[in-house]
Amino acid sequence: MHTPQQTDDPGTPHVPELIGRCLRNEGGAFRQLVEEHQRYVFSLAFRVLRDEDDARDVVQETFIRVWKNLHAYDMRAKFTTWLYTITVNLTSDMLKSKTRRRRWLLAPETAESQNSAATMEEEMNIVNRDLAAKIKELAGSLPPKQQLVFVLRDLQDLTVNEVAQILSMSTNTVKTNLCYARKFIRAHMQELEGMEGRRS
Amino acid sequence: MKCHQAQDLMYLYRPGELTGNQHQELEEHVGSCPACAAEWKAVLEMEKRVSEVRNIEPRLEDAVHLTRTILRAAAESRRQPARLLGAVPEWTAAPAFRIAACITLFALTGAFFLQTAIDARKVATLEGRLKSQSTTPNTIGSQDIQRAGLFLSGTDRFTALPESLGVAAAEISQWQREPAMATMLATLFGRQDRHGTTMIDYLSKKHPRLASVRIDDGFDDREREILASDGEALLKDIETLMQKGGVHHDR
Repeated sequence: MHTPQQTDDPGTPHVPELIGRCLRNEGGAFRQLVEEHQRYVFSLAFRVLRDEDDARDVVQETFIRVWKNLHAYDMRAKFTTWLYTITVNLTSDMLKSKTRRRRWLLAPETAESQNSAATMEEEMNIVNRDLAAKIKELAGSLPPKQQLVFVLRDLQDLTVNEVAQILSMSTNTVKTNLCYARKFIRAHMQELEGMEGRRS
Repeated sequence: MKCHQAQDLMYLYRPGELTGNQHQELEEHVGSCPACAAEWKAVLEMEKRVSEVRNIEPRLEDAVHLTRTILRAAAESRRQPARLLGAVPEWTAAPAFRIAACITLFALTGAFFLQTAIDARKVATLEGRLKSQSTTPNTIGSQDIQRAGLFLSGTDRFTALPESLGVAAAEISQWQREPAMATMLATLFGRQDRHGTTMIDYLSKKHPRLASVRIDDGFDDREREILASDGEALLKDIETLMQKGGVHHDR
């Protein structure tokens, strides 16, 4: 188990004070905590699960756990690391159940979830929509551990140390998984580009 | 640096993933190896594309509604009924407490089963002793008092006996026809005090004249006279002993 090293949130220095207010049940404090962090939690969950409804469920459950366990939160740790740990655990559980569901029922992702993802995609207003979709799709086909490492490090932009803390891994294990994940994505992107090149 | 080593390291391209030395060695190798240089270029191109995805954050639709749902669910979770035993103190979560609780539970369970096993063994021993003592009157004492006990069963032959003796004898006779009562009687008569004296031995010594009466060939005048004079005293002694539960060393 890795011990938290950071003592505050550089991006949100008022977080410890906000948590203190939540613990004292001060009106509006928990609402503020949710409003400030739910976007990031959703972003992580959606990038792994690629389903808006599932990601929203994870956000809801994550903050209920935060609410119930806030008294046990170690103020010396970075709040977002703790928050991401809860999110990753819930996302990971949902990912496993989704994988199981797909494997046992032999059903592809529902049209609804694909539409939802597609809608999100359009709204993202990206320069290379196809490429983003390809990378996300490839990330989705990685083994769960590599997928989580890739999403946390390369998409959520956390440091290797933070990823190691959240996933309870050593930094070397994070790097090894990262290396495999990037090689996989690079190899498959090359294949796709080759196919498109031949088509054009 | 070999090509395969370089092609592993080049995938750790983001800041902080390689040490200074690794970075320098990689750059030197890529500078001198066209194949690895081409690969390195492709990897950096991939990173550029991944960074584009990184910069596009998935949009959370209707965040206000989600916040409201979360706050409502959190409030409901607080309103849930209290636990049966109330709030568990925080110190119960300490590893030392949990280990101690496990050990205590284990010890209590062990003690319970051990006591049960000991009790079962005691019961088995007692049963064995009772069986060995009570199978037949022959196993419990002297021949003389055995006969004294037996003659009491033939009450119809002793019309001259005092009435109380006759009633008592009839009861004993009744017991002897009942296996359970006979067992109890035999057990009682065979019970020893701490000097090893059984009730039968005690009665035999206390009423030597009765012990000489033979019951298998009828009674002569002398025997009738003994039964009439000592029979009641014998029954009284038996009754006393039965009340006391056995022969006492301080008799």
